[in-house]
Formats: sequence, structure tokens, C-alpha cells
Amino acid sequence: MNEDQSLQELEASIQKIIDADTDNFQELAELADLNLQTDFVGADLHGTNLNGLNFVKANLHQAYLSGAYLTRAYLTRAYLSGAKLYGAYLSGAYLSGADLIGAYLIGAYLSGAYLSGAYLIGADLIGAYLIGAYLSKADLSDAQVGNARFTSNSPGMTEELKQDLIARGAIFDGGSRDRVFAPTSR
Amino acid sequence: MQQVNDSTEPIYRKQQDNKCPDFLYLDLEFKDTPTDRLEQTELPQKKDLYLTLNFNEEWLELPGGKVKYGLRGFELRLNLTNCIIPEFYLCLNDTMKLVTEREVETQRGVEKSSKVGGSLSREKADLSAKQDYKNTEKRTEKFQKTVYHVSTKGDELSPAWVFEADKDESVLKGTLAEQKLATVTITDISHQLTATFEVVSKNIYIGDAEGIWPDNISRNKLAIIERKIINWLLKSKLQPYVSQVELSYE
Repeated sequence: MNEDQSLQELEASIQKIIDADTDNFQELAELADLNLQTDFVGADLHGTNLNGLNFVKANLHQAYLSGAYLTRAYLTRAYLSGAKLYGAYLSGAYLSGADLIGAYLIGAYLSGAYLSGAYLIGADLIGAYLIGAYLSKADLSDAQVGNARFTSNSPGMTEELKQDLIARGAIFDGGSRDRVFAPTSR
Repeated sequence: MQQVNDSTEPIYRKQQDNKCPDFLYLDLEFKDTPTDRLEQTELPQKKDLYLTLNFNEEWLELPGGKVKYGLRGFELRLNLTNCIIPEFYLCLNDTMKLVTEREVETQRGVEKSSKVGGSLSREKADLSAKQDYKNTEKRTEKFQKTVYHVSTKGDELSPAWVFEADKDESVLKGTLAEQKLATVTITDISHQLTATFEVVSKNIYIGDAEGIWPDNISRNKLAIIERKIINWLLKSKLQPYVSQVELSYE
């Protein structure tokens, strides 16, 4: 196939996406012959609506997901190392065992997120909302948690972890602040 | 130390393959190296290796419109034969400074421009003339930006430099001129060095577009389209490498 033909194919594929009746990201990806698990490394997905989608074990290394809607998304064991998730909506997201090493989660909404066994080493969680997040065996070592909001009764929240997080600037059971919840969709 | 037999007369060769020279131009040069042959030289010998890069954004023309793309990062990999680069001889391992040009407009009180205006109404007739004296001069200024983080990896036979644009910088633009990259230790008179400039999907930035998608397209559709374009660019233009330079003495 020469370059002209190949460009025409690309343009036809773009037109198919523009004309699609759906705005569901997974369906659009299928139309474009893209795989959610493998084709979005470092992708610019800021502000996209990915609520409830299946990204189990997906490679989203260094993806730009700031402001993305990932409420109740399935991100179990996803590779999100270095991902930019500033202000992302991750409430109730399934992130067990996810690799979030060095991820930027500043101001992210993680209330009720399942972070059991997640690797948050060196992650930037400044100002993030982790109210009611499941934190059993989550590794928060070297994570920046200044002004991040936690609750004492979160599953996996030990007294030792709580005191450690407070010493690093986290806010616990902060009255009205605890009732800040993220929107679930746009 | 090994003495080089002067009956061997290796020929210096340089092969350059810049696939998209306006988009990315790569050059490498040994400094103070004779270009025809080496002889009577003691080995091992050390030579400084200098790198030149020039980055620009480029338009991809599609039948129905066009889209701009550029680079946010890349990897420069060297493969060495009969020469090595010990880790402590790697340079350019912190930040990269690019020189970019911009047009600067300055005004001076020299130029004369005249405006004559008139108005006519039932109440009042008025004619006015106004002259402004000003001079507008455009000139190009060069300035240096340090916006790219550089890290190194690999080993002494295949070192690599990984360049990434800083958070606030979306695209690589400008020139890196004759920057010392490393000091190479040459262990045999016949030696070879191949530099390969490689990019992966996360390194490609999609910018402005004209006539390809409607202004009110959803974020989801746009993200998928951008990914599709990036995959096409990689497959059709930018892989397995964007540029390659081979320096050899044979």
C-alpha cells in the first residue's frame, strides 16, 4: 500500500469515529481497532469519560489522565506508573494491585476507591480525597500526602499508618471536609 | 599501549539518514578527528563526540485537512563496536538546552504614517488629519530554554539518552548545536559507532488541526482520533527510527 492509500484509510477511519453514534470510549476504541489494555501508553486522555470501563492490567504508563472520569473503572493491576491524574475522578475505582508508583494524583478524587495492595510509592497525593478508600496493604511509602483527606475507619487504616500519614501532613476525619465527594459523571 | 600499524589505513565514513529532516535533524561528529585515516596512533585513544539536533513541528496533510504534530521526548541510542563509553564519560545527562528563535517587534520614533478621516453629519462637518511617527522593526532573537530532562541508561557498549519535555512544555522545538555528548574510548583502529534516534507513542504530540474534525468534537472521540494518528505516524514515518548516523573507520 502506498502512502496516499494509507492516508486515505486513516482519514476514513477518522471519519468513522466522528460519525459514530456512540461516545462510549470502549466502543470508539473498538471502531478504531485500538485495545484498551495495550494501546494507550502515554496517551493524552485528559477530560475523557472512562467511567466503569475495563482497564484491568492495562498499560497506562505515563498516560495523561488529568480530569478524566474514571469513577468505578476497573483498573485492577493496571500499570499507571508516572501517570498524570491531577483532579481525576476515581471514586469507587477498582485499583487493587495497581502500579501507581510516581503517579501524579494531586487533588484526585479517590473516595471509596479500592486501593488494596496498590503501589503508591512516591506518588503525589497532595490534596487528594481518599475518604473511605480501601487501603489494606497499600504501599504509601514516600508518597506526598500533604492536605490529602483520609478517614480513620477506612478498611486497612491502622493506627500506625494513620499517625504516619498525619505526620506527613494528611488530614483525618476533617468534619465537613470529609463530606466532599466527587461527581460521578459529567 | 597498543601501537597502530601504519600500514592499516582505515577510511573514515559517515552515513546519515534523516528521514524527516525538517522535523528532526540529527548529526554526530568526532571533534579533532582526521577524516581520511588514522595512523601511528596509540590505542586506546579518547575522542569527544558532539551532537547536533534540530526539532520542529510538522503538518501531516490528509486529503480533507491537516494536523500538526511534534515530539515531547525521544531516545538516542548508541551502538559501539571496538569502542566504548564508560559511564563517567557520559555528558548531557541532566538537562538539555535548546536554542529557539522568535520574532521581536520593536518601535522607534522614525516612521511616519498618515491617517486622514472625515465625517459629515447634519450637525457638523469635520475633516481631520493625523500623522503618527513610529518605526516598527522586526528582528529575530535567539534565546535558550532549559526545558528537557535527560537521563541515561544502558551500558558502555550501548548507552542511551532518554529526553523528556518538562511538564509545562508540550513540544520540542529548537536547536541543540554541537553539544558534547560523551568521550569515546577507541580500542581498535577499525571501529564503528551508530546513533539511532527513536520515538514511541508517548513521545508524540498532536497539536492544531484544520478541517479534520469539527470544533465541537467530544473529548472521547478526539482522544481516539489522536491515538489513531499517532499510530499511523509511527508505522508510516517514525519507526523503526526517525534518524540514524553511523560513523566508522574501516
